[in-house]
Amino acid sequence: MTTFNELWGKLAESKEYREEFVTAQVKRGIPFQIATLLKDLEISQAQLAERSGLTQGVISRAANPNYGNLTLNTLIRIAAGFDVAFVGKFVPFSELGRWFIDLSEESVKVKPFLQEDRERRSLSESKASFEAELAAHAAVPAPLDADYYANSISEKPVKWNSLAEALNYYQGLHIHHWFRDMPLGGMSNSIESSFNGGYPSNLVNGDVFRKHQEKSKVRRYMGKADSNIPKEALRA
Amino acid sequence: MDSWRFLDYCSDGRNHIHDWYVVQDVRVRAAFDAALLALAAREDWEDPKFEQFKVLTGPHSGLSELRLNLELFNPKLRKFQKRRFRPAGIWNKEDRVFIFLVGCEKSGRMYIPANAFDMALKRKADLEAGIGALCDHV
Repeated sequence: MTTFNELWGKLAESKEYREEFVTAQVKRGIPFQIATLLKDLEISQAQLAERSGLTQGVISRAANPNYGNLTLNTLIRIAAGFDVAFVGKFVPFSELGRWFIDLSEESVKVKPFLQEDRERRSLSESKASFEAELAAHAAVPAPLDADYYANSISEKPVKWNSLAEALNYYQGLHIHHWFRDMPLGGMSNSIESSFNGGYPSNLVNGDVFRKHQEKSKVRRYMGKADSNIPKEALRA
Repeated sequence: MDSWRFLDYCSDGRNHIHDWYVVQDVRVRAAFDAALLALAAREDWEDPKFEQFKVLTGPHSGLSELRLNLELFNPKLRKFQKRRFRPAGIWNKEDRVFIFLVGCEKSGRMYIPANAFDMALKRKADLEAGIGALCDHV
């Protein structure tokens, strides 16, 4: 198997080598992709010819690297027949080398526009329904611990501007719950910061949490909970 | 699916395919290398529409040939010229390997070297008898 470095060594051999390699890429790479797409999309050369407005002979030659001299017009028509885009562009040799080294039938498969569009629509629909579901849950939070939530969650209805915000909220709830049940001695600055960072401020107002915070402050200023506090600060 | 792997037959301390390759014109070498990279990526060599590979029958049964028609640019004539190469070897479908036994060009009805396929058969027999070795085609 040829590696990129081996191929690069050959490309560095001479300009003639590079020229011929580019020729071979166009004359072999494109027919390779046409043949792969015909197989993958399960359409015959005759069907593609009909969709492209070309003859079956032209398609046959275009899919065979041993024949034909593909013109840009033929390529554009074939792209239309597949309902895919065609990008002809100048690239550095490193890109050409990588393309060849990674070449496989899988790597050149392309979805026709309608398939791509269907997938995009289905993705955005499932995203919207997920957001709606999250919003419905967020409007009426499930009472995991009724006494606790009575103290800690504000009466204001919670609305999310984005999916990320909603996910942050649920993450925050989880941390808050865990934090509440934790013994004070185990608390550290990093937990506190992660707690505060991922938590909406309107939920940081419960009695339990305040109690934790106050006790924690006392312990810290006594130098027991956090040994990283400078002595000057402790004295002050 | 794994890509195809090309191996060279070596004997008497020589890589016969490499010896054939290095004496070719630089443009032939480039087109040959690119053709092999594209061939390696092709999954099904038995597809009837795939014309770059043929299992030989008759007197050369047991051998296969790659049928590479390369269009090479001739800067002096300012045009592309077609050349046909027919390297022969052993096709191992199960291991997805092609073993080059001989490098060969077809010109008209003639093969260069003329005894290319007989030479390939002899090397195949040698290889089966444990003479020589295989190395990666580079």
